[in-house]
Amino acid sequence: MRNLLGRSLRACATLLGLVAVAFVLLRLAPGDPAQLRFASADAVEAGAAAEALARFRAEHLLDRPLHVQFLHYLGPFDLGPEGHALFGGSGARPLGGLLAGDFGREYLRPDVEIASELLGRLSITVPLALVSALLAYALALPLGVWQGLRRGSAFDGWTRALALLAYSAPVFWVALLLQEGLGPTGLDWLPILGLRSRDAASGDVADLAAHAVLPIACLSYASIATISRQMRAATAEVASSDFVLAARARGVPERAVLWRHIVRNALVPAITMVGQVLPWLVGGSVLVETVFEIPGMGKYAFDSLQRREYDAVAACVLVSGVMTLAGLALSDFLQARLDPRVRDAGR
Amino acid sequence: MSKAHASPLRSAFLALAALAAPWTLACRPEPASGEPSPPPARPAASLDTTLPDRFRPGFDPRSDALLTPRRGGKIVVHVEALPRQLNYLLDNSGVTRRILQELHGTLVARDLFTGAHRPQLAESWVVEDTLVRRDGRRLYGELVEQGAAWRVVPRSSPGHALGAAVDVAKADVARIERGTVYTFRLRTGLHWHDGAPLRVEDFLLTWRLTRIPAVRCDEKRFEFDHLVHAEKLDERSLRFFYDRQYFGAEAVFEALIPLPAHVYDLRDPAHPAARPDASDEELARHVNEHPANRRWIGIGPYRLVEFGDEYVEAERVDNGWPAEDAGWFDALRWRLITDDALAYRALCAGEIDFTSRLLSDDYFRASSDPEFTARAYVGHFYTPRASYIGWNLRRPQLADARVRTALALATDWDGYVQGFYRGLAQRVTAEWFDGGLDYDSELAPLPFDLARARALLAEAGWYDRDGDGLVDRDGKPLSVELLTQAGSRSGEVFLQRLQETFAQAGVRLEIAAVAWPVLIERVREREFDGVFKVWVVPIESDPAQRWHSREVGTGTANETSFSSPEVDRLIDAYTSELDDARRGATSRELQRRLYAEQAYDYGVKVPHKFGASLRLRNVRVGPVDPGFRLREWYFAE
Repeated sequence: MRNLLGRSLRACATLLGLVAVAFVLLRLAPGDPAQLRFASADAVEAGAAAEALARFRAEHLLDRPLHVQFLHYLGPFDLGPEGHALFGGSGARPLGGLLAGDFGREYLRPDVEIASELLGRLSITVPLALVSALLAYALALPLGVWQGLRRGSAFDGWTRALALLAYSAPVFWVALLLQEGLGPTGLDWLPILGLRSRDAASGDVADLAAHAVLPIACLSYASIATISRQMRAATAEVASSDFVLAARARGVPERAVLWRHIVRNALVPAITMVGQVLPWLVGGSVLVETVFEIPGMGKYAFDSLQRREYDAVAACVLVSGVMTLAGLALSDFLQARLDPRVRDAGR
Repeated sequence: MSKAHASPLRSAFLALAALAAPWTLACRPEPASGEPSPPPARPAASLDTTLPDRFRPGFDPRSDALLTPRRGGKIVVHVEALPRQLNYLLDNSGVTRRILQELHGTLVARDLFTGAHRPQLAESWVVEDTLVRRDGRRLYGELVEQGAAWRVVPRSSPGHALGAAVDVAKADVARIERGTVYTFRLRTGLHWHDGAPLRVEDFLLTWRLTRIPAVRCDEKRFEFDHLVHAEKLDERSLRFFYDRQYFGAEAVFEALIPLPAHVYDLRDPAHPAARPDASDEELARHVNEHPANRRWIGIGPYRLVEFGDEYVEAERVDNGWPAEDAGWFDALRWRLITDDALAYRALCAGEIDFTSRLLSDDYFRASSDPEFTARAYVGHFYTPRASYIGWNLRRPQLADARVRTALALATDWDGYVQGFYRGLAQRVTAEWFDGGLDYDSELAPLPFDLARARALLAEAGWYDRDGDGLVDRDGKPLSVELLTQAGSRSGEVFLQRLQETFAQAGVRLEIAAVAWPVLIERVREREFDGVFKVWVVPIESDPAQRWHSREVGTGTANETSFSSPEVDRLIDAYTSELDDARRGATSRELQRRLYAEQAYDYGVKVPHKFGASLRLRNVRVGPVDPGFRLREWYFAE
């Protein structure tokens, strides 16, 4: 219980730090949402843009010092013109900010609540990431075991070279390559736009699956490379350890040696990587969703960054942070389940 | 090399991809020479540009008959961004305009080909003049000169204040203002998409909202600044009053889109939460945050059915819209594809039926791409938009018109037209619509002439004193930084060449390719030497914002900080002139003055390069933004 409490406090502190860093960096970046809001030719023609800019900035506190903006964003008190009366607001909207469970609204689409938008986007990104993670593990674990057991063979050499290539290939480049090669201007095997064909029914699973193939491939290939390398090293190490030798000497059947002694022990480091894989996938989703025009959280983060939607980007960073911490917690949990030494050390 | 794409980064990676994976090369046939395929044949100059399907392979609209139009099908059109919302008062982006063109209506609409205004939600309108007496009283009606008097004849009815003609002695007249009172009579039988009838109050609400500062319509508000009064005459008639004579008055009613008062106006008795005492601030908040801004209730022949993260979709509705203009498709979808290169592939895959944003590389390769030609064809059209280089006159090295002219002479626009656009772009010399009466077509673009550029620079005191290849003065070399938007393929091609030609003239050019928000900020704050942009020009362009000295300052449209009393005078004369011939003459004089100053080096009119499905028929493209109307098109099958 105490351990859990300590971990929770550390997680909160980490998230706070993450939000603070993201908040400051975003606002220090050149460009601002007010300029973008009034960037159209008509707005420039208006001539009265200076007034409009000032009004927009005041409404969103963009003209206030950075620490005031941060406290407003953090909450729980709204420091805006309609915020808490204690801070000079009209009192119409006293509470707001992260601590009040409010991610805010977009600057350019004020009727859009960031939380609900994000939720809708996550319903696309999370399934894609999970399927990619499952696929990565499903392929990388047996591959790593196979490589580890046949160290130095031609198969090991080729697959290691391929893994290295995959590990080094940027995801957006691979995505473009696959679009070009397998899309309509190439072999025309797979769709490359979004997650649904123009006339597909909403429940058409086959259509959805066809659209998801390339994005999932792009999201998972680097993880496959990384996990298989890890699994290979662990398998090789465990396979040459004394207890495996002893098991064989005791006449334990080879199948049991493999599954009960080698694979089970070699799995520990690979499983703990889940804490890294999930954030990679979420990070990769920014590129993959942008290239394939998938309206998930990654594309939302990218578009929001382009539009200088500070609060929306910060929300995406926060969600990514939460997912990273959840991944780390999951990896700790799994490690404890698989390795009694870790479990006992925690007691 | 396999194919070229939007950015060098993209091209580089695809080049690497081709090296790393030879199988990608085998996917598509390429011209044997390795050279880019030839551009598609351009239509003969004499061919009427309004002819339908004139770009479709094998179809000659002069001799072939179009198929009989039939209703049905869903067209999917590419958009590069989705609108923030569909309330045009709050979001006047180009995409919103394009969508509302099909979903909504205005009092007057512009003909796609002639640019002339025609009635749309109005059945008819009457324009009258204002006579201002020396005692300050204003009379309106048709002004007819009668010797020593002006006769004011009421033309609009009902509700005209005069009732009968009145003569006013010229001695009692302070001034007359032509074309300042507009009286509209609405069509009957039109209904909003929620079933409520169209009312005069819907137009008055829009006008009223533009006068409430808290309504987020700052981009639109200025258009209505001089529309000082509006009134309801009866259930079908309304009248607007201008406070000045203005050449672009009629165009304002194109922008005055009605809003359903029973939905937006808290003070309207038909509103479900009507409150006659609602304050302006309450009304503004109600409008700014109303869900109908996204779940749009329009008056056009199509009603919104979905506004998601991927597309906007509308379907046909029977709401009394005239059948001859109600379109042929059963449904319209605007599909978001942010990457224009991906739009090309989507067209090949049949995921979309039309895009007007083909990249130059894709446009020129399309005709030799069997995946493309199996489903689609390409064409192009022009709307008033031109690329230009604007110079910041506050920079000491750019304050001299001779230096700016020299820089223009050192710019190889013709090479750009022939190289990047393969002759498809057209040189322009001013911001006015070059198909209009106000454009001076006799003004020739400056040629690419390095010798003359160097001579002009020397005349201005800039020549190479230290033998380093750069002209200098007061110990400083002539160096300029040019801002441009990062990721623009055409910009990169042009600016690389510009760097070479400027260097040949002895000028150091530094290119700052920055993100759009940064570019906007730096131009607004005047933190730039020069900027390379594309300007989308209204048909009736008001030059005051860009060139009048009263607009000098930060954050205004006069980004070069240009100031000239003579130009101010010409602008004032131009904007208040209603006679086309006289305004044209003033405009041409104004253009010559601006041309001599070269604060803007106008470059080329950029073509819209489109790809259209072979299934489409009656595809006409014209010069008025956005250049096409989906309601005219239909599917062949």
